[in-house]
Amino acid sequence: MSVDTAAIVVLEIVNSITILVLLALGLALIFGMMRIVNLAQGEFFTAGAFTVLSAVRFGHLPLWAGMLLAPVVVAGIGIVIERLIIRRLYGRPLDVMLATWGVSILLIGLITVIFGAVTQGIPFALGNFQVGRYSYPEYRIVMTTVAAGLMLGVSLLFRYTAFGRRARATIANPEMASAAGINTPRMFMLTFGLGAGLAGAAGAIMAPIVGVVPTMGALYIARAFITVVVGGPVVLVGTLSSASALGFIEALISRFSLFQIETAGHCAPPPCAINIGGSAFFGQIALLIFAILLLRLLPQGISGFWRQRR
Amino acid sequence: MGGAAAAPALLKLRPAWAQGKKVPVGSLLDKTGGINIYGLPAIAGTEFAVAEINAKGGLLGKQLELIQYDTQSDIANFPKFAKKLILEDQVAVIHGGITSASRESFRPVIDEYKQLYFYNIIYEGGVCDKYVFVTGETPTQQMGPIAKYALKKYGTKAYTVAADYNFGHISWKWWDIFWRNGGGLEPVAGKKGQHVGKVEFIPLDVTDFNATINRIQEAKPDVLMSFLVGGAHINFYRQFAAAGLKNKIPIVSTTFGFGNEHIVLDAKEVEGLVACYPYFDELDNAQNRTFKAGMKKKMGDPNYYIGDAGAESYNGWHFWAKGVQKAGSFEREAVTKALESGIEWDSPMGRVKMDPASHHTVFTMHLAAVNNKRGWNVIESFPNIPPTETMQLCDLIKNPNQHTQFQPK
Repeated sequence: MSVDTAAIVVLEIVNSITILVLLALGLALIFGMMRIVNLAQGEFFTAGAFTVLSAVRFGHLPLWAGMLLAPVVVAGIGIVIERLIIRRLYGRPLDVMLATWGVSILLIGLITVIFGAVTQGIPFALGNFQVGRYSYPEYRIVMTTVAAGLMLGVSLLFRYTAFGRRARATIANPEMASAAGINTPRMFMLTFGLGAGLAGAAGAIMAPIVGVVPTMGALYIARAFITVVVGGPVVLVGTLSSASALGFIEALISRFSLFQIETAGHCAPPPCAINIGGSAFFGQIALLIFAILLLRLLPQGISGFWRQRR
Repeated sequence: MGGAAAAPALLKLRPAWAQGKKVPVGSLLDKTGGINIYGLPAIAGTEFAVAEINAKGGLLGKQLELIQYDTQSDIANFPKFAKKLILEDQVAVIHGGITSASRESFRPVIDEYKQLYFYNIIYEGGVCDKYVFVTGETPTQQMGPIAKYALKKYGTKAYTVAADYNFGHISWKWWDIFWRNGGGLEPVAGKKGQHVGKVEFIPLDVTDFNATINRIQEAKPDVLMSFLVGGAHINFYRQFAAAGLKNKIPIVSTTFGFGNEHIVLDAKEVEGLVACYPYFDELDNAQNRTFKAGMKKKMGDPNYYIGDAGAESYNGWHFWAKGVQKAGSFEREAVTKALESGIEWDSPMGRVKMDPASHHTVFTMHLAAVNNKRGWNVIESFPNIPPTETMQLCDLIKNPNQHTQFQPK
């Protein structure tokens, strides 16, 4: 393998990990910390993308301004939903699942009514750079930077701020936190809002490379859940380790074919063979198989495993 | 009692239409979900055609009652709603189906109940079914002109990306034949194509094409053939342009544009991409001027772009209406016989003709490139191109009991 191919494979792996981190970070807070199976998380992502679309198309704002606006707007939506619905259902995991599924359908419906069911795009103007024989879009690097920035921001927030300490205390033991004078309903609300806002940020940052359509959340929600479940209970370490493991496997299998199976039928150039590996299809399969294996071996997820060992 | 045995009894009940003032007719199109980039224009064309037929007094003195179900880009909905249209709504005809996977999912239902059905969209060719009429274009009509143009203009090395379902797989087989033969089903004079890299089949829900784009760069093709389909695959073109490849590797496609992808994407991302369809809004003829004005009024948008999917749905309904008028009946057998007499008419896409033996349509095809005004510039037109690959395999007049789909070995 030549140097430029090796470099491009590394970039592909980094890109896969980036996308999984973006998708999973918000959900890791809501599902990983609060144990809420939020089936509307995909629609928070969609709402982020549509906020950017509206800001650019109707508000005539620059793209970056729309992207900054998106997490704020979506965090607001998340807080409203928490106030109206989720907070009535804490401690009732099945009911909350059903309720958020309803919210998901409602949000898709609302977005469809406002924007129509058509696929829309947000063009963007960043260039590309050369890696040997390959040219690679700069925007992918921007995405990775933003994902790293969000991880770092969440980490600092929970570790070093009063809000972070109170939120962690609330989630670890709500009664004790409440007895210590922490306004726990408010903490739940803000944590849920933060999780929603992070999904909004992910939708915003990915909007320019994907088609923006009301049902887009469905394309991403499964990957987000897989990443969070494999990651386990420790939000940041879990998300990063599982995104890294799954993204690595996905990118590698998408890129390289493992072996060939000879087949009959029409093909060119002969001989007839199906490559196992070396396409997006096998990348997806590899991600799923690897996730199943990991969960079989580490039922508590990657971070749960490490916590047990300590 | 099985469905097949029950069907004739039901058919006898059908002439419910004969007494009523209205005739129910059915349409199955994806109004929502990833396939609605084709579904929405097809629905617009359908509604416009039915309204137009009704405004002119309907058919045989009866108004058409259009019954539409949103199939939601979900294959499971097609057989379900097809049965509903046939058994409950007792429609005289069904139009619709978009992806070939959806069509093949309910064609068995069509055959079981002997239901007249129109498939009005570009596809991979080969459907040979007494109950089915096709007003969309097939491989010969698109790939012949595209292959010849690409070989002359771009070079002989092609890379192919295709949607991972029956349409993409069968299209790839035909494309391999056309490309290596220099643009014909049999070898033709001039340059012959070859493939670099392996054809890549991409599932419909894939949205990130990073690895695919890098593999294309590795293969260094002279031209890229795209059989990508649906809302998620639109991202491919954007990501391809973002990698700086738009001006390095030209793209040709049999699918780009009939879902108005050139409206979703920016000119700087796809200008110059070449496709071949029988209809573009830019075609200048009297029928198309009336059609465009009517559609723009219906959609309430002076900039509305109709595209191939909308025009073919419109044509499908008018082909059926002409069959009904000629037959003087809504009965399937009579309408089929009328359509097999070789109906031709001046549509918005110009003269179109139903080939009696194959139930497919003969068009004038137009090779065109995306321009920078959210439209297309026609490069060259090819009058009266028949769907040869299907015609040479399918003769429904000689073998009326065929209900199959042919594909290359």
